[in-house]
Amino acid sequence: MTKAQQRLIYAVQQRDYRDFELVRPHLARHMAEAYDVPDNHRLLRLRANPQAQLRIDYDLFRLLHQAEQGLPALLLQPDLTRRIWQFLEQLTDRARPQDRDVNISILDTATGEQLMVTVDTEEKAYVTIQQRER
Amino acid sequence: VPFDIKETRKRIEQSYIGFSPNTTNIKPVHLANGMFRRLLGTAYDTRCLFQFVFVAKNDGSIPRGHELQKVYDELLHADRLNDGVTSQHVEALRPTLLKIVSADRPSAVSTGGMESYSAGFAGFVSNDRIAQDGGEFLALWLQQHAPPFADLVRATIVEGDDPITVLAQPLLGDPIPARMQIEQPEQIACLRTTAAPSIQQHMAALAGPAVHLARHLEQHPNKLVRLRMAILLGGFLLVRYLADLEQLYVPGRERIRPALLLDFSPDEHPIHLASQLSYVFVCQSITRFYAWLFTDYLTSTFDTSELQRPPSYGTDANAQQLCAEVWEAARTEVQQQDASPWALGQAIYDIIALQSEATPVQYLRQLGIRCGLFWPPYNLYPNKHLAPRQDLLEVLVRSVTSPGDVLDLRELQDRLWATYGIVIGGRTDDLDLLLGQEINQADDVALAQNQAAFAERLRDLSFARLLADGVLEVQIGSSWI
Repeated sequence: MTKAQQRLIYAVQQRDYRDFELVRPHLARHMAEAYDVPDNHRLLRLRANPQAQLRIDYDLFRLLHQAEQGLPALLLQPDLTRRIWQFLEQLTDRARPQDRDVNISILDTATGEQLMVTVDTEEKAYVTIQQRER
Repeated sequence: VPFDIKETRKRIEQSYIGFSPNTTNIKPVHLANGMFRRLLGTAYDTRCLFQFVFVAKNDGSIPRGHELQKVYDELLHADRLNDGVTSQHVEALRPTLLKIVSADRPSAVSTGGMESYSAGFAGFVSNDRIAQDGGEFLALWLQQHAPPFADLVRATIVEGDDPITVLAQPLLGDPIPARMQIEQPEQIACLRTTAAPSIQQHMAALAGPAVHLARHLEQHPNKLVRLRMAILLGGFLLVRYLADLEQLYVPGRERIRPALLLDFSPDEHPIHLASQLSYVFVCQSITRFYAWLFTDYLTSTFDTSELQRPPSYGTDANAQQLCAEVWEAARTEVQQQDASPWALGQAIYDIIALQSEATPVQYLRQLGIRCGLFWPPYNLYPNKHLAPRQDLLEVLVRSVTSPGDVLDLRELQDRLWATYGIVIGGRTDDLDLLLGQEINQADDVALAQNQAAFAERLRDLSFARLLADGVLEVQIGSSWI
């Protein structure tokens, strides 16, 4: 499918892994004494904004595993991948001040080609364009 | 010849409907460009951007002015490149940037004409002429009946800090006068303040969800997501609006609103056929509306003697022959005792179906596919069913709720029905609703299964959780930040 082949990922912000936490949901103690809750998922969430969270259940775990093994994007379940995009979209830091020079990383998921572009937003000019092959 | 259908169709449609559903090139990117241009009241010079991203035509030839060296020299001359950036660097960036700004495959990128860009900033808004009036109509409609939504979109498209805008910033030009496709917005019947109260109420009610969605979107940290969701809702509202035209205008049809039966079930499930039938009834409703629309135009514009002669469709002799044949058959029908009062209007629709680039039904089909409502997207399967993509489903749910709302599944489905005429199944009266519209392929069990599948989709979107007492609670995130 051409759209999947065309998919590009781009970003102007970086998140450190220490910005995230992996938590195991559990009931309040008095509830836990009365009910057994299936231990069937974890939540990956942003420490600074716990509402930005990704529910990792067995289906998502399997999808990520398949992606890691190289299964083409076309064959990955769209409903589950949507969950990942939704999570990524919530990671934007709206309050982050924009620097004069902005670095943009672009990854072509079909070819593996990477571009690093730096734009001077005051002068409106390309400062550097770097190309990397996978 | 009393009139030419090709010439008058657009005028009639713009007056009754507001825009002309006369192309299959309708895509969200065109809707967005038309909507943004109308909201901003201006367009921008995108020649430099176009010269940069449009590397070659489909046949491999390079358009004049788009040669690498020329593009590089012009950018260098305009101080858009720092010293270390070479023509090889520019060459590497050009196709990548094209993929980004043409993600929605705007129609004119391959033809070299004016174009719309998949981007969310004012500097990308062009004077594209392809399928723009649907977006312009949306802007006019929502400015009037959902000002918070229009304000949010307008405020978002002047923010210039998203990755696509920053990446293309050295290529964006200055404001230029806008050329609108809807030339006389004050003539749109359903948006006039003198329209019948029932029409005004209907247009206001259908725009209401946009205000709900705006409340959600204003909290989302990512501006491109805000705009994408806004356009998705816009596309869906146009689909619903087209399906409501008969109810809106045609005397005696005020109470009849075709249901949209959403299908969340696996292949071969009875819901699949039932949902297909609800799509067919929407199409039939639009066709009936057009028969009435043209009949209304004919009777209000011509007297009986003028309608003896057939209308024309362009200057082609074969088309004229076809017009004469269809018209003669319709006139014969009119003289029969049990003739449809809309026979002549139906004849004009038939001529359009045979001669034009696209009928309103084809427009609806493309729009529904592109906004993620109809499936499958292939032409081999002309009968679609209504299987919303996850992102559209998220938009629909948010558009009937406020941030922080907690409600049960029944309440959510009630709101979807009241607002959009959406049926999913599982409520006590759903089966009767569908039978009342002659959709009889799905029984109570099938509808309950569809409801369960819907609940599962909501859980995938993190909107729903099953409580210990078996009640499914739907909680719409109060905040994205």
